[in-house]
Amino acid sequence: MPLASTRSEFLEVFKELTPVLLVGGVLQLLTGLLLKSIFLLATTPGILVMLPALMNLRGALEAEFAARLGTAYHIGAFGKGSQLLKHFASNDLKASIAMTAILSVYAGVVSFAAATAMGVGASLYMFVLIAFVSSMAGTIIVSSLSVAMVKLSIRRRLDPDNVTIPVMTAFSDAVLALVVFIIVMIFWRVLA
Amino acid sequence: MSWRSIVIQSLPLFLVTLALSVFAGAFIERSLASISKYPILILVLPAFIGGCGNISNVFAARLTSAFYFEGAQFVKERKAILAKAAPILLSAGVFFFVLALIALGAESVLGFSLPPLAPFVGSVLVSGLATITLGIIVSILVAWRSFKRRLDPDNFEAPILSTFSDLVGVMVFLNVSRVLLGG
Repeated sequence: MPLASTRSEFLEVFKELTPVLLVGGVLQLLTGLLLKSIFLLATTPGILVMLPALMNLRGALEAEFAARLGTAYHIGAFGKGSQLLKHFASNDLKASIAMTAILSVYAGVVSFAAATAMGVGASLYMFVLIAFVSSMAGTIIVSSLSVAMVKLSIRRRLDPDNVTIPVMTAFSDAVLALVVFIIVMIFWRVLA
Repeated sequence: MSWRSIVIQSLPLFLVTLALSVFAGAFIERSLASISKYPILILVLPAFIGGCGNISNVFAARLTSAFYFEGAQFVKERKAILAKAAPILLSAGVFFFVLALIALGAESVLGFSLPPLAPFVGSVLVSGLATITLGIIVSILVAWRSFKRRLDPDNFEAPILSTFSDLVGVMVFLNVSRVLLGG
């Protein structure tokens, strides 16, 4: 590989990647702030066992949903803007909701089993409820935002693939942490 | 593709990666003593894990493109692979250093007690670079094995590296923090 091309590639990658990483990092610090609040409230024993799995689930499903919307746009499945909503209500959203329902209950049960094995006094009902409600709320909120983001990208003549996935995966963590925080706060007030 | 087909095709990999993510959560729960002493660790954790996943995935995407252009023998061209890894590692170094400083600034503004500066910044930087280096090695192995088996590496790199970042990133970060900060 010629030295000049190596050097220009080095600078190009460094200059393009670093700012994007920092913006994403700041967004995810907000997620961290919410997690820290949940941790400091400490009303639901063992909830930290479940959070990485819920975030992984939310981020992966959102990336998949956004990628499908992007692909549908590229193959011309959308046509005019009104058809976008039709597309949104069809297979991709149904699949996303079905996966969220199945996998959030699975995440709740597996996390409960792990927490119980570790000797944490967790409640299966609480784990499954928090996993299901926060994931479903996250799916509805973040998927709607994804559709809006795709529409905006198309209007601004940007490729939705370059915009939707990185932005929405960063948002999905924050939305999930916010919903979990709200649920924990509600339980905390009910139990207090 | 119908929504049922999408669910059936995607479900198995999700079942495995979610179970592995629970291990990461279990490790966080086990490290509550360190986190209780320094709650800033939980503030940084999502950005740390997210950063590790994003950086590793960017390297993987660039590596996969190179494999497509040059074939599986690309894995033997050490200088070319190092040239791809070098800017990624430099960006990672800047990212983890600035992330640690921003987190300290946020904690300071919010009025929380701060950990010792150098050990905290050192633990974020060292564990970040260690996780990314391991991620780069995993990425090369996944790409090479996929090509050897005539599979598309793009289908495997992202889920494997994201789960790897969750699991290994959490373990490395919390262990390095415990050693450097004490706890």
